[in-house]
Order: sequence, then C-alpha cells, then structure tokens
Amino acid sequence: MTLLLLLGLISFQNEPVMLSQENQCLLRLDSTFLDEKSVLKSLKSGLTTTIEFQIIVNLTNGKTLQGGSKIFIRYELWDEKYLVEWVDSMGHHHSDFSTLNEIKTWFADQNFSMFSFHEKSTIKHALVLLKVLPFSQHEQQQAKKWMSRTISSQQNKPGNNQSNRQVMDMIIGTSVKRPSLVDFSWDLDHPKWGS
Amino acid sequence: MSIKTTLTGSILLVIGLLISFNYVYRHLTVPWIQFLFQADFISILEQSQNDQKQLAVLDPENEAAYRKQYGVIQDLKSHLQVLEHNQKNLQNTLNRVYLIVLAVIFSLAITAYLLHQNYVKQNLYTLRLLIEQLLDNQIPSGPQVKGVFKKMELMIRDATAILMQKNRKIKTLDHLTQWQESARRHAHEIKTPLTASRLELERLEHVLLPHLSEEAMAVWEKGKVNIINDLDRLKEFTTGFSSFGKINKPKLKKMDLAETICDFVEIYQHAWPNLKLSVSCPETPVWIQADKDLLRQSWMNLVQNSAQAQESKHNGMATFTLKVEEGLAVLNYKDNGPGVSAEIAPRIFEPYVTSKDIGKGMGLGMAISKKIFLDHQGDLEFDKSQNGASFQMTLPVSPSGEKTC
Repeated sequence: MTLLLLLGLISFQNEPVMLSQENQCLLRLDSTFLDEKSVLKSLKSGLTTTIEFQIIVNLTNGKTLQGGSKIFIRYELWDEKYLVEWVDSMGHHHSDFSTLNEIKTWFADQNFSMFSFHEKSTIKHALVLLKVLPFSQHEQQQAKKWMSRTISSQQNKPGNNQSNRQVMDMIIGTSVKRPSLVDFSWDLDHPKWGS
Repeated sequence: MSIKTTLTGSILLVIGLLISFNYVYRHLTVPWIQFLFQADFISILEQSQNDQKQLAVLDPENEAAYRKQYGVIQDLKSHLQVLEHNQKNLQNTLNRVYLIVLAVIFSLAITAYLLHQNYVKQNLYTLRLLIEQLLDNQIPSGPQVKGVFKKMELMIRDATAILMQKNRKIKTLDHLTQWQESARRHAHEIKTPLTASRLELERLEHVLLPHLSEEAMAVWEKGKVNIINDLDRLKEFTTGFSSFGKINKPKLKKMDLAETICDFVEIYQHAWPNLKLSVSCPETPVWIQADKDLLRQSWMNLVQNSAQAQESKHNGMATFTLKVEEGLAVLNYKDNGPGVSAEIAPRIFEPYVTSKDIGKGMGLGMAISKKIFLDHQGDLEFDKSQNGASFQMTLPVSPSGEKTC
C-alpha cells in the first residue's frame, strides 16, 4: 500500500530543476509532496517539520560534488502562523507565512543554493534525495530527556526496582528516532540547466 | 536419567521462564504502555491549549501568563507526539529486549540444567565405582562425591557392610553344613564296622579260648585289651562326629536372655574348680526367640575351652556381659587365659581345628557353637583385639509382645 502510494506520489511529483546562477548550483523542487496526508498532518502539528534534500553530482571529468539544504517549518499555534527557516550553501534564512498555500507557492518558486560551481566540465549524472521528517533533532532530544526523566521519577517510587533504569535509557536511546514521512529520489542523467 | 526426572526438570524450567517473563513484563512493559497509549491525552492537551487562548482573549492583561502556560502544554504535547511517531520502534525494541532476556534466561536455565545433569552423572558414576570396589572387597579410592551423594555413599557403605556380613554368615553356614553332612556320613560308615569288629572279637574269644595254652592266653588278653582300647577311642571319635552331624535345628521359644545366662552361670559356677564364672546383665529383661538347650551347649563349649586352657592355674576367670545395642542382644564372653594363638585364630570356627593335645578334643566345639548362633539368625565372633579369649555373641531382640514360635 505504501509502495503504491509512493509510486503514485512519484508520478505526480515533478523532477527537480537544476539552475546555474553566479557559479552557484541552485535547485528548485515541486511542492506537490507537501499535499501528502502525513506531511500535511505534520505541518499542522506544532512540531518542526524538517525537509532535507541532498544532491550528488557526477561531472564528466570524474569529479563528484555534493550539496544540500534543510528547511524547518513550524506552525506557531498561538500566533497561528508558519515559521519557516532554511539553511543552504548561501546561509541561514527565515520567513513567516500565514497559510500553507503561501508556503507551497514560496517553495515552488524558491531556488535553494546547493553548492558553489566553478568547474567547466558538464554534469554527467545527478542524484537528488528528498526526505520529510516529522520533527527536529532538538525536539527528538527533548522528548528523550523528558521520557527518561519521567520513567526515572516513576522508578524512584517505593517498591519499584531501580535496576531497570539503565535498560530503560538504553531502550529510549535506541528507539526514539526520526522516521521519515516521505522519501523521494531522482536520478537525473545529463540534466540540463533550467531557467 | 529417568523420564520422570527429565520431565520434572523441564516443567521447573518452563515455570522459571514464565515467572521471569512475568517479572520483565511488569517492570519493563507497564511503564512503556502507559506512555504509548495516551492518544486521548494529546486531544485533552489541545483542548487545554484552546482554553488558554480563550482566557487570553477574555483576560488580555494576563496574556503573557496564558501564553507561557500554553507553551508548557505545547512542550508536553510535542514530547507525546514524538513518542507517537516512534510507537512502532519502541514496541519493536521492547520485543527485542524481551526476546534477548528470555534467550539469556533460557540459555542460563539450560546451562544450569545440563551442568546439574553432568554433576549428577559424575557423582552416580563415582558411586558406581565405589559399589564395584566395595563388592570386590577393595578399599574405596578415587574421586569423592559431594552434597546429597555423600549421604548416599554412606548408605551404600552401610548396606554393603551388612550385605557382606550376611554373605559371610551364609558362607560359614554352608561350609559348616557341608562339614556336618560329611561328619554324619563318616560316623555312620565307621559305626557299622566298629560294632561288627566288637562282635567278631567276642566270637573269636568264644571260639579260641578253650584251645589256647596259658602262654597264648596271656598274649590274647593283652592283644584284646589293646584292640578294645583302640575301638573305644574310635567310638569316642565317632560319637563326636555323630554329635556334630546331628546338631538339631533350634526350637525357638520366647525367653529372657538375661535370666537364662544368669541361671547358666549360677548352675555351672562350681563345675570347673579352676575357673570362676561371673555375669553382668541389664536390669530389664532381654527378650529373644531361642533354643535354651542349644545356647547352653554353646556356652558350655566356650567355658569348657577356657577351663581346659587354664588347667594349670587356680585363679581362672571367665565373664559373661550382656547388653542391648541397635536391636541386638550382645553377649560378650571373656576369660583371663592364654587366649587363642595367631595361627589358630583365623580358622577358629572351622571344624577339626584345635590347639589341644591329641585325644583331648576333636576341635568341633567352636564350629558347633558358631552353627548354633547362625541358626538363631545371630552370630558368634572371635575378638582378637582383647587379651585372653574373647568372643561376642549376637542374637536379634524379639519385641516384648511377640508370641512364641
């Protein structure tokens, strides 16, 4: 079922467009994946939805170049607005949006800077990876700490065995991960620069 | 290893695993379950957040406080949402932990079970070696058993000692029975020609006497006396054979051994001028099933031997001491004579073994006495550790209410 859904998404998701501007390799992505049910739920949850994408480029001269970008979107429930931060090779940026549609529009138009490009050589192959995570690393760590603290306070109650504390920490440490909501990858052979 | 033992071990193993699993489940799972199944809790938190916002609208002056409270609730909700995303991971990790714990417990239990089996096997093998050595009359050597097997070893040693003692008794009894049969046959075979010889001698005398001269008569009379003396000696031996061959089976009657031995000493204390008899008995009766006449015969043999061994002395002493030990009546006999020579001692109960001069005894008395006690399910043993002649007679004690056979 998940496989079918992914296949469906892939078919709807347009290929990323690679751009070259002032020796920068830019990447523009279709925002269709933001309409995916699990992604929508995450965007409205109040947690920091993290969109990670990465590009690996093989040049005809045999060299490999890598770059990437991260976008953090958190819905501020009190103020009812979306706080968006993103990091790419050009630096750290942020912006606020009132609605999800505004984000989608912004995302579809946004060119994310992947890496500096000084080579004369042409691109032979490019691999683009996209991953949507439901919460940030910071939120993950905070949840782990809270859980460990809560369990240990429960373990400290009279009649409970304290010897399980280390086992609990081990289980928390190995179990609380950041499972991705959706994953995409595109293999681009001899991609052409877009406009 | 019996099926019952293996089954019991397996059942105990399974019970142990179930208890361990239950322990792990209660101490690891329950707290996790409390976290993992709080879906309603998130909606309650959301409602609480909305309430804070409503309060801020109604009470704008304290908006900062409501917002702060809103943030606290949001943090808690975030933690729960993060855990909600990891519900499957947590459950899988828990399952893995359970499996590992179970596998460890199972491995430990199996290892302990196998080690225990090996321990039992080794100890049983050692016990088997011990039994083989004991049955071969060897002094036990080799590895030692431990724990409960030590008790088993002691029981085996005791049982073997009893068994070997009984075997010795049976062997002796068989041996004496063979001798008895042989003596009876010899007595029978000798008696007939002995009687015939006497009659023939009388017939010869009757036929020859009227025809003999005075000189021949003198020779005849001398020869006749010699022949009659030899025939008498032969008769005496035959009587000895006969008495040994005809030891009666005991006619058991309930009796007080203390009273019987006291009576014996009282009756016979003056029978041997060179020997003073004495007795020491418990105050309470010692009931046994025995044939009084046969017991007296055996005691007579013992005292007779003591008296003969101390013929040259005038201060000979012999003492009977009676006591009860572990369900046995133990009657010790001891004199202050020269004792039994080391050469004779090992064979003292064999028939025709004697240290007396030729013609003074056939060496059947001790064999007869031994047979009498063995026939009573008891024993007569020589105690070489003492000075003088010392013997121990044992007889099973009869319950006081038991009827006479």
